[in-house]
Amino acid sequence: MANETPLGVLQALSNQLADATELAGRSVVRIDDGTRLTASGIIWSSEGLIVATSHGVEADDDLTVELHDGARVPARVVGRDADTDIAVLQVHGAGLPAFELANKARPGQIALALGRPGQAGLQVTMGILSAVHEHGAGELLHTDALFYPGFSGGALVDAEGRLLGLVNLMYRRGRGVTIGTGIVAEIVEALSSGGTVKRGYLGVRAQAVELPPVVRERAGITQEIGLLVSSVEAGSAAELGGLMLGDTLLEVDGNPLDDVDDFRKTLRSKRAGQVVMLKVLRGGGVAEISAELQPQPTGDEDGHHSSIQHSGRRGGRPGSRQRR
Amino acid sequence: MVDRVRDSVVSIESRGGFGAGVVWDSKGWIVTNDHVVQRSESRVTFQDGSNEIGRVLARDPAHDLALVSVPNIVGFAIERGDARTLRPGDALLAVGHPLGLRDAASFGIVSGTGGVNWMGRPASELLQADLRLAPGNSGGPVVNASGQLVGIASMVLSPGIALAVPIQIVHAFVREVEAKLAA
Repeated sequence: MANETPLGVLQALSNQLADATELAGRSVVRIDDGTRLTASGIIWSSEGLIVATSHGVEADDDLTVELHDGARVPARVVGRDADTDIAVLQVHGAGLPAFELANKARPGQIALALGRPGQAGLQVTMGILSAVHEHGAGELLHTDALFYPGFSGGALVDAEGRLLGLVNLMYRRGRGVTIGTGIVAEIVEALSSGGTVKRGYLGVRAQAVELPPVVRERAGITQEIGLLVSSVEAGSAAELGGLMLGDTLLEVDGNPLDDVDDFRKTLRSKRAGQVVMLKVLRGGGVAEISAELQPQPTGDEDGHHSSIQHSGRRGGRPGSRQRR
Repeated sequence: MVDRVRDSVVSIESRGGFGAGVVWDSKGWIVTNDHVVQRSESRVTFQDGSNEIGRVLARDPAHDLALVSVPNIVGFAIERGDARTLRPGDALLAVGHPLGLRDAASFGIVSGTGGVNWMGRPASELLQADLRLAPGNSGGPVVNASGQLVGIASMVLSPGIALAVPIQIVHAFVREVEAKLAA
């Protein structure tokens, strides 16, 4: 009845997953913010930087971080980023077991999700990486590993226990997602040096418009919808780049523009100082414009504003045309 | 390995209950959940399709366990393992009849051994796994990566949070019944 081989492939996998869990579990902490619900967090650096989800950590001060061995250390929030829902905490201590980062995330690879929800201790679930989507400075990861309640701020790791990303159950209207380490690294770098994340700002208002066949024919394009620029902020990246009132935006960095929200998202994922290439319809012809994005104006870091605003009807699409 | 485990899996029907069971030993004892066998008699169906009337020998409602005896056993007693050496992340397989699908295997891992309440329920002495179980898995075996029994699938707290009664509790229950019968 016993296995013929000394160590079956399933036993080897079992050992590997348990080893990975043990290793990764050392870098997953529990954060007590004084509310009834505790949050999970991950040790980002051995010098005491902890990353968690912003929604999971309600207070900024008088926080307690519980390490894997039960040690409790005081912590405070050093910065929050509304767009990625990331909070960066500092604990006093050195030599903390920080995560090693995984290599490139590949769909199909085994993934373990870890958290320390409530009083339940370390919890882990297994699945595969289902999808990897490019997003801003990094990637958003999707897995079929279940996220238990309280896993927000926990880790998604590979079969070696190396960090793939930060688990967030509440990201963008409650869809569980994992924020890749590239994005986390960028936010941590900006926030831990006392700053904020400088999102790119273009400085235009625009509205989706249908491009009449005669216009498309004359310009030699097939695109049916563009974004009509209805105002250009003085001194903005858009103005400095030469964008004019009445231009119709067709493409950004080679990607067609037909939705104000999509354009807004694209710009939010870029950083101040980055250059965007815009293709516009002007005077019946097509022109190329490059604009170096500026930092978002103060007060725009709370996510209520962004670098492009609607003018006119929300939704951004003319008529009842529905595509995609 | 799943084939080997299946040889020890039965299905159990009793009025008000349907689930799985595990052939515990060669003397005709089958372990299942207490909630699967609500009546004293139930129909036990073996791998070859034959069936027998099983009689409930003893119950342990606190641990949701029951021992069912049948006159003749078809199949083998399951190989027994140790649940106490399991670590979070260790692979587990469950075999049962989820939603009536016969002898379906599910793969998962030990998701926690925290030893304290889980969402207000005392899960301390239960084996917690991310196995996706469904009604019909109840009473069936949860085995380790070597195919050895480590627990009896018992309840699903929410999809993907499965609890199993660890084998040491089953051992204690069976020993108790044996002692009572010998007395």
